[in-house]
Amino acid sequence: MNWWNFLFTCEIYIMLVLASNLAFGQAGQASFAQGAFFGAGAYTAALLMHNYDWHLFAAMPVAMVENAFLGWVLGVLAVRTRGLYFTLASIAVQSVIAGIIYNADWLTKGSYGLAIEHPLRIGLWQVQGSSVAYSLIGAFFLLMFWFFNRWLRHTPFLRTVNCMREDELGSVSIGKNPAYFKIWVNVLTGALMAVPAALYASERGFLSPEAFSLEQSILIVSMMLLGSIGGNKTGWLIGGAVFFVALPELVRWLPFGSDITGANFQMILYSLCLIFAARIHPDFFSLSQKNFTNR
Amino acid sequence: MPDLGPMIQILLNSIAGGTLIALVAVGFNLVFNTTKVFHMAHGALYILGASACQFFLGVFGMGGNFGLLLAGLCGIFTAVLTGCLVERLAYFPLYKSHARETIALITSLGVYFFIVHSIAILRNGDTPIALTDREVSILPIGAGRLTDIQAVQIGIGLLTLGALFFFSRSRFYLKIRAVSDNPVVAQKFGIPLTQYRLLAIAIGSALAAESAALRAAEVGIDPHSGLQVTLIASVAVIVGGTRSLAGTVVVSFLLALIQNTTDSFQSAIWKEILTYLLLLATLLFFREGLLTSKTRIEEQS
Repeated sequence: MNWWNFLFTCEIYIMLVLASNLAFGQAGQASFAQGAFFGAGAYTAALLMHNYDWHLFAAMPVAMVENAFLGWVLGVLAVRTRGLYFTLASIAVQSVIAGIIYNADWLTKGSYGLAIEHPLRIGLWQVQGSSVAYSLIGAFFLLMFWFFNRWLRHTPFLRTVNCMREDELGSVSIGKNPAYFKIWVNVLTGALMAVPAALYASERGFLSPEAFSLEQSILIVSMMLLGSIGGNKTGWLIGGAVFFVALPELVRWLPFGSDITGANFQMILYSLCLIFAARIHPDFFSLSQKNFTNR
Repeated sequence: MPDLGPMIQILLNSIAGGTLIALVAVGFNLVFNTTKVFHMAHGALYILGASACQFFLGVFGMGGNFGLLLAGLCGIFTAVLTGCLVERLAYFPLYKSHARETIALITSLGVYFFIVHSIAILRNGDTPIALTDREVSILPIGAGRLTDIQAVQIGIGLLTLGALFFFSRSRFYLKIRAVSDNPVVAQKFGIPLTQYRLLAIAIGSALAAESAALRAAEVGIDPHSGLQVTLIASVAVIVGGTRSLAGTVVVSFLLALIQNTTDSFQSAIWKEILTYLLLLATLLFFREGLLTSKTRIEEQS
């Protein structure tokens, strides 16, 4: 096992979890569209790098803008629907985006996957092919995410978002418009998720549509659920992400007859974690039962 | 006069496909209303029904229609048993701990993946689940044609839907309605909550497995298509109005019509995306469904 590769995967997932926790944990919007954000960001960056020879750090902001737009769409859905129906709407968004990635052969090469021929080079530093270099770049972005997350938790913006999660009527009564905050927290989440997505696309050099299906969303939600046992603390979220990235490596050591059995066993372990995390901590975030802006 | 052949063919295919969707969707409706769990595991029970059918067909080693029927019944029984286990082990504890809807959905997703991947390990692979590979005979109806399996699907499906109509007029269904409206009050009136929840989930699972067995007799079922099946059923339930069984059935036929029409006029890939767009549109604009009477705001949940 390549430890640097493992480290890079961990960094990607920690960033994804920290970003999506803003909407899922902090704002209490149980969305299952993380895979769509991840995929849309990765494909946007990959297409810009592959077709137009853009640099990674030029393609990343564009992917962020595109993902922010997707976040706006989800935010509008969050304003119009509530609770269970929002979750369903997010699954529909996830399926539509994944379906477009899978089926638009002329753009994304569909089920064959998209190979990205664009060696990353920063100045004289040849990054492509070196997992050490990618881990360092990932660590840099992760550190930025960490500080941003720390700073954001003490801003009035996130406190209002928390207030809205706990009591939507209460936030209306102090003159805050929940619709505004719901949309902006989704836009922020979407934009942030494009960063690990672009890094992932650049490191892998190959994107396959299976990586951005509903299963990916569920994996990210499982990580957040495990993190939420510790009351939504950043450390717990990171632990949840690392645990789920490490799990397949542990399963690989177990003696199974075939790879298929191993992969299925891994999914069974994931699902058990999901069930037990939900059982241990049934109130891991408060979801407002009524959406008062919807009246 | 324009050629009506393709139209009649689409209509016939939609009736056959619609009955199968309607069976799954009515089952989903029963479970969703009674337990208030967004029953993602419904798709897993669908897959389980089909693969158990295939397993029993191999065990009995009987060819012919009788063997198929017996295997189908055994498959349905397996799905019912598993459904009841899911209710007792996963859903009822959630109800007792007053978990939120979203937690219930996440648990149900976990159950879905658990069942589907356990089946994949037991079947040792991801090959499509198919029951028979015999030649189909074709019955011409008007300008269209119907395969004999489609005719059987329509026959058994409509028979079940008819039985469900009488069931929905019975006192059992009345009590299920009472439990789904307000479990606490229903219990105070002496309706055994646990038993009626089990009854609802048993009927729901049986319907899903029946639909799966009928589908697997025609074409192979992809063992990972369960989530799609649940989501399409949930579209039918939500678009038709969550409280109305008749609405669910009508919208199921409508969905089959939409899918078959896009199949023949557009490339097949847009079929699924169109279904999800319909769901999004319904969630955005017709929150109470298309076919329900208006309820007061206090009653909406």
